[in-house]
Amino acid sequence: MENLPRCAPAGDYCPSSTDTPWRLLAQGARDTLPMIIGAIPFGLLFGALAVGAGLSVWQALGMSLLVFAGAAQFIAVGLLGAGAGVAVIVLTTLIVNARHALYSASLQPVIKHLALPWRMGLAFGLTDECYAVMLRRLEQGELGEHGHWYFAGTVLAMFSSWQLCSLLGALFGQALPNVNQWGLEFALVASFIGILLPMLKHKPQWLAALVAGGVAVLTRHWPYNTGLLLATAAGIACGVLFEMRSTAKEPS
Amino acid sequence: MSDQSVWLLVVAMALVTFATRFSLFALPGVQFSPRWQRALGYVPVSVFAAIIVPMVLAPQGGAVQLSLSNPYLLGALAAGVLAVRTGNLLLTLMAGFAVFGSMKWWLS
Repeated sequence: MENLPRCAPAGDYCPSSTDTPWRLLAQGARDTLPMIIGAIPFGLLFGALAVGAGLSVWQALGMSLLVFAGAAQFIAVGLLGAGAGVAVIVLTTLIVNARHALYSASLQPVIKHLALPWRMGLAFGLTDECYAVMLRRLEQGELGEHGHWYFAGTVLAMFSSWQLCSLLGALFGQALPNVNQWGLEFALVASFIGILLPMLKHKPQWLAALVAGGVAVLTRHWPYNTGLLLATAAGIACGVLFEMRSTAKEPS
Repeated sequence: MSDQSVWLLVVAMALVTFATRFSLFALPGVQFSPRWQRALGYVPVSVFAAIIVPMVLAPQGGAVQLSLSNPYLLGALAAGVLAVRTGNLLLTLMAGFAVFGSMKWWLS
């Protein structure tokens, strides 16, 4: 039995002595490439829209550097253009990014042995894209004791490409002063549709989206876009209630 | 919005975003209850729908326009079809833009 490899099941990923931190870092970065390609149009568009909404190039880049959350950044720009106040935008950011708490819950096993600075650094980079890469990698098997280097690789790759695209987009937006008259506000709508529709997989999610959308239309004239918060709460409540009712009906 | 307010906004957004991501990395021994997990799962669809639907049905903060002469509505339908059919973001953007742009041009 001595000669059997330690990770027996064929096809499973086997952590080996070749998995040095640097190799893992490079693997993480490489596995993030598809996500980077998908995020390029978003980054460019964010920069251009941010400048179109009245931010300076530095402010647009500063948002990408410090916030590093594509969906929330888009929403902030949209709300800025609609004249929303700081408090509403920050609250909306909190709600939009609440899903990241779920990601951090699910990746706990990879980071729980790490020192605080490591955990903080990786948490800063826990975007949708990096989470997706981590999930896919973890489905192939354990990451081993240096797994956090793989995580760091995806974060570094995603972070640097996001900064570059935001900057290019912002410079583009600045070079074309009329960029906000090109109907780019519609690009925002189209990209949100591209994010939302693939998420609608089950009936309760459709219901949540319909209710949230309907309430948002009815409350759209509330000051500082506060109707958005009510609409979101209504959508979540309806989705949860519907899901509870339908699971109660069919005992498993 | 003044420069100062924009930077205030950026820093506050950064803090709340970090807080959500760091939450359970800060407390490695804690987990969410199933009830919270379920509620958090509905957040993204609700937020995005609450943002998109008014932008499409009542463009630029105006009245509700449920008509075929609303370029936002037609563009959104085109984008929606591509999003469901292909799941490709770039195609979704281009289809929506093509319909929206040509309608605006047609109407102007």
